[in-house]
Amino acid sequence: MLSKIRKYVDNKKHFLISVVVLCVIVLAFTATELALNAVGRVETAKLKEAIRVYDAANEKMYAENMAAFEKTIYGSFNEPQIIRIGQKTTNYGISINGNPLLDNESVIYSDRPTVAVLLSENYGKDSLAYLPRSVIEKTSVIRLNKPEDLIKVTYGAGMTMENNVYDYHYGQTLSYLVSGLTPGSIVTIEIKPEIARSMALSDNIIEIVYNKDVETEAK
Amino acid sequence: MKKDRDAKPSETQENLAETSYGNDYSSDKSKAALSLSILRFILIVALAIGAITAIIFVFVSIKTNARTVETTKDFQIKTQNVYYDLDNNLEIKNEEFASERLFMFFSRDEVYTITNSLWKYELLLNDTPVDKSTSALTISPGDTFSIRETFEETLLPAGFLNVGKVTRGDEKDRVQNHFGLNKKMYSLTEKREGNTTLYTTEGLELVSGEKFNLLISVQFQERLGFEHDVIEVTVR
Repeated sequence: MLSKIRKYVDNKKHFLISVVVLCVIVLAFTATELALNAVGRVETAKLKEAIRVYDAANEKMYAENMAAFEKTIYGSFNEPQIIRIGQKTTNYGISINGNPLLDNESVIYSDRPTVAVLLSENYGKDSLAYLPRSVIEKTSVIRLNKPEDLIKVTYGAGMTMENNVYDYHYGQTLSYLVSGLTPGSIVTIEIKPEIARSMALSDNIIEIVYNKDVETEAK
Repeated sequence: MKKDRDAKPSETQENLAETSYGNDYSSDKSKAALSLSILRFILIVALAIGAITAIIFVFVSIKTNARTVETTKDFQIKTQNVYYDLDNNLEIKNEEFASERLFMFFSRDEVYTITNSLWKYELLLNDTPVDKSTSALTISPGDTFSIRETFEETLLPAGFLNVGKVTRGDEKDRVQNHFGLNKKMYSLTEKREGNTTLYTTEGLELVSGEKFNLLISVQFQERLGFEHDVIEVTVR
């Protein structure tokens, strides 16, 4: 076998023919490949443009659908039903002094003389895709209710409280900031039962105790 | 020897190389010839690999380009369809969109509660509503019964609105299933006009003196507000 191969390559005529033929094939296919690459770039550009146009068409359709859906909602449902639709996909969260409120917590110890309770209403990206923004915003519990109706905060004499609302694209946050606590002070928060239920909290009344020692013990 | 002298240089080279075919690599000439053979072989193999690679690349590129062209066409067709829907089927698409989303927020029972008040049903005897408290009717040969189904004008999508019908939007159920004339042969023809659909008995043969029962389903009885779900019918 080896001697046959050697005989073939040593034959100048065979060798030259082989080299020429192979060179022609390599050159021809390389040139074709380069040409095809150029065509490929053009076709890829066309595909990207087709996808862009398709997305634009879908966005247009979505905008039309959403506008009609908004009209349907306002024209077909009463206020409680609209509120129900709007609040269905909204998530709520409560944090106390920066820590999320867990479902089995009813007493929390604070190591500082202020208590910051944040009620967050998160529409979520999905809600905004499912419903017109106006419906979601109109039915926001933070907009529809007074702060004291959502979380009732009870605190002792000498303490002060202020509320603030922060708007962000995917929701709103309502803050309750109680300050002026003295060691041993207790701040009680009573969360609206509907909100507590939607957060699956086992207790809607939470006591926050200002205990200076918490900080000392931790250190 | 004479033969060697007359031979062309290339042939001499070949002959030189041939001397080592018997695997005698001891002389320098034989070694040089072997090296040359190896180099030639490597060159051919390298070119062959290059050729195969180039061919494979070309075929892959052809396939990739064809797929890209096909995908582009698919997207163009999809885009055309979207624009076609925007121009011609926008109302249907809006309804589908609204219906699909509304079902995310309400259970089927809730949808029924919301929409059933938008549908009104009446049982008619010769175009005259039958009294809700009726338990017995006397009719004449040639008389017809009809059910008039009317819905209020609303922006609600059809898929959502239809859940409020007596059939609860079940595509397999029909109004005809909620009405029956015991032991009688007839059919209920359907005639739609605007927001009203009239289902009328056809081919009902009534003989003087005969008696039969008009039966309505419990759901239909509830929708009609009737006191009885069985009405005794006597033909004069």
